[in-house]
Amino acid sequence: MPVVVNLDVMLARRKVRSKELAEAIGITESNLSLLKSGKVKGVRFATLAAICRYLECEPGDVLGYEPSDDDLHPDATG
Amino acid sequence: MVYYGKKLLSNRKYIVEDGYSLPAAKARICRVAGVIFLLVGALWGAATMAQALTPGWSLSCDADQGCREGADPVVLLPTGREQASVSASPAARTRLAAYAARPGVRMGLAVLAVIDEGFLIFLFVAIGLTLRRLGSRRGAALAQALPWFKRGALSAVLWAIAQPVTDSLRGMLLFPATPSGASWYFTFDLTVAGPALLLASAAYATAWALEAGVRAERDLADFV
Repeated sequence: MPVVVNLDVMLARRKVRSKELAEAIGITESNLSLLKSGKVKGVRFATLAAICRYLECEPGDVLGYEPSDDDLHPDATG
Repeated sequence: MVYYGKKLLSNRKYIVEDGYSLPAAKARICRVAGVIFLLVGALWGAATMAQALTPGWSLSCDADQGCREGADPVVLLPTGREQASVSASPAARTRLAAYAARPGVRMGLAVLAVIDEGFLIFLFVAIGLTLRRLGSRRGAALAQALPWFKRGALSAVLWAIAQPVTDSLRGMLLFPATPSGASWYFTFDLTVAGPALLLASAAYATAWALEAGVRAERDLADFV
């Protein structure tokens, strides 16, 4: 699923450290690390909203999409 | 289940700790209880093998006379009229013993004993393994225990269904050697099979619901 997480880019732009963001939005650093590396199945709207609020950005700044035909039939690939 | 297990085991250190592990004292009690269930299952299995090899085998122990084993095929007859009529006549008793010793009859009784007790033995083993896993010190104790709980509950359901069938077949198998002669025989004691089936079904449904809950929780745990 080519949804890419650009959180590390936004953190660098805002000059915010991961630890600071994790504390500010109330998730663990390890979970934030997983989110940054894209190793999660999904992100809650509440988490995304908190990130956007703290980094003063839009969801599209944090998440990106690389088009792929595989995504038209997601169930077929399991 | 396997997918979630492997997926989460590899990621568990990063995501969430499985909160379903018991405190040390309770975990120890669970492990000990699990061993007891496994021992009972093993003893029950040994007794079933003895019953399969010797129709009507029994072992009784008391403080005064110690342990005595015996083999009386009369106890395999359905309770009531047949047992009384055979017990009352030494000739009928001898005839039943000789009939039960025939290879075909013996084999049939052995198969019925294994089917009848096999589900119960498996139930004890499954509950034992469930308790052992619940008392495990590793993470995801509940998730590891539930599949065995579910197997045990399924075994209990099958036992409740098989019991009247094996009782009926055993009766029909032995009736030719009784004074009343060969006849059809069907028995279904609703007071025994009914509650057993209800309880076993409830246990299975509980296991299924818990397993679904754990799976859903683990699925959600991948969301941050």
